[in-house]
Amino acid sequence: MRSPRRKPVRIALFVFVVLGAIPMLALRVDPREYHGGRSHDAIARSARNASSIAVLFGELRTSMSDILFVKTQVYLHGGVAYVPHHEAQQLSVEKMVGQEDAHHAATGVHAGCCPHHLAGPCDHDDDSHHCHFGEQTVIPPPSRDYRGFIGRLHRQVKPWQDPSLPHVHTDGTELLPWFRIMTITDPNYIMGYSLGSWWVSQHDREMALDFLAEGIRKNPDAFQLRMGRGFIQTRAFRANRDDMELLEHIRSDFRDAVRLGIAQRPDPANGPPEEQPGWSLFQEQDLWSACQMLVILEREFGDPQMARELAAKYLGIFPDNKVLANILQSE
Amino acid sequence: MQKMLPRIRTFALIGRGVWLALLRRQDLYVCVMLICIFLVGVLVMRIVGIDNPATGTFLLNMGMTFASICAHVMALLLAVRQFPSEMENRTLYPLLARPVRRADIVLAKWLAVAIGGVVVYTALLSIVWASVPKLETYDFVLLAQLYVLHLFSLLWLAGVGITFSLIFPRGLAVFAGGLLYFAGASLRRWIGQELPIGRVGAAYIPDFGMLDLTTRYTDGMHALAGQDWLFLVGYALAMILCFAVAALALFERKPL
Repeated sequence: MRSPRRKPVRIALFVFVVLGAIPMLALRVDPREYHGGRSHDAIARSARNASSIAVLFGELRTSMSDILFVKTQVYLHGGVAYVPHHEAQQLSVEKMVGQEDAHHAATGVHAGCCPHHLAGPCDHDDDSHHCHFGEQTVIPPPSRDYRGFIGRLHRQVKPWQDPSLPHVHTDGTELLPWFRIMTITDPNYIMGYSLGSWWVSQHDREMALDFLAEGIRKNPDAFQLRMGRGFIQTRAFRANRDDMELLEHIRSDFRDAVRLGIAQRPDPANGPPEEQPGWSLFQEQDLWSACQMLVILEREFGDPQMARELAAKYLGIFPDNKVLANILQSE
Repeated sequence: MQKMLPRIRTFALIGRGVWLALLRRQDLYVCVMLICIFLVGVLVMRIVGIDNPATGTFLLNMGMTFASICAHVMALLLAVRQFPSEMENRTLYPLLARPVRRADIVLAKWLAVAIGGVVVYTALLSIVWASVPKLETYDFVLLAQLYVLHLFSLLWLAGVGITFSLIFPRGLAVFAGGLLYFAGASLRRWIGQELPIGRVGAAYIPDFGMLDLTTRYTDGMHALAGQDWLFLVGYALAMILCFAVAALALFERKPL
């Protein structure tokens, strides 16, 4: 006959054995880790991505990320919804990251956005009371609103401010989760990674680099991400110009960005690259920027003769690039 | 056997109640509607023409993943509703008044929920499997391994749902169970990297992805070695036992 006193002991022993077995079993095998497979094969992936169904689902996912991207602009402006800037030129990483202006990073607004900036990009670094005038709000001002009382109510209950007043920027902390969700929704949303990492870098550079590393892992061909990493590391290098190892990493990133970008750029013989499918004006501008940065780094910290050769080489690819032409002439 | 009969009858009775609850809820019909939409999509694709074999694989992967998610979500929702709803409606008390052990009630409900999930999964998987053209090669043994592991996975999630429903309010139990099902792998990886408990400690975080071989299957990989597959079954069983002990202990001590 079983002793009732021994029952708790048996249960405890059983639980102990089971709990001990879990890590042993969990760490012993992971069926998700294997080499090869169709989902990892670039040829199979490109064939699948070319199909209409994949395009349909891809569009849906990208649209979700676009919606989230627009959301970041609302958060940036303290809840006031401005008409989103989605022009290709304003989505350039170069314009957002290269110029290192918080406002540009999220809205893409740059030179010429207001009378004060006709001569060039903004050089102010205040986060609040930026002086970008004339941005249209989603909720129209009273002068353009036909809705009368409803419009007044709408402006009262929703965050709104007169578009003729300078708009207010938050410090960007609220944007960070959106960039995370954006990239979870669509891990191929390059802009989410490049802009998100820029914003994260305002708070924690290492985290931003981790975020970019994740983006690069998921999008190994995205030259903008390597360029973004180069720009973020350049800021660290400015603080410590003796760190040659870091400099080499930066140069390597820009070199990779240029190599990948040029390989992906459509053949100009078939017309302007930015007008061809799969390539946009902001990609073109980013590639310009990466080339310029590589030449500048080579000139400042490497071999000036090599810099000249590179400038000449890239000028052959981008004959309209005035920065490269100036570098070549100034030598 | 004569002694077992009343117990089997109890299990069957409770199981029937769970099955009726499954049929009464709208979740099942939402699943049916979604699978119909998927079927229409596949039909359109077949009429338009599937461009390449990779697209066929993509559809198969999507359908199988969808079947798996639907069955798991159904099982979780069903499991989480069992005790709180019965206590709220006071339908549990007539059952407790009978000479039925509390442990039997928990186990019967658990099994019934898992069987409900398995029925849904089998039905959805069969529809997906039959409708999508197989344009590339797939390992049939791996499909069998995948299916059996899904049975354990459903049993495990049903246990998670029942255990959580005995601790948390219903909404929170759904959230916690869903979090473990959808993000258990990420949670485990993150905890393993960030917290001092390391990979061994993080192995206690339920990782349902370990039992999902869908992508492996549609990737055209070979079946798992028998020993590896048994390790996965062992992992699932160990987790199921943990939750079984927790659920039984919680229900035994729950003031009703």
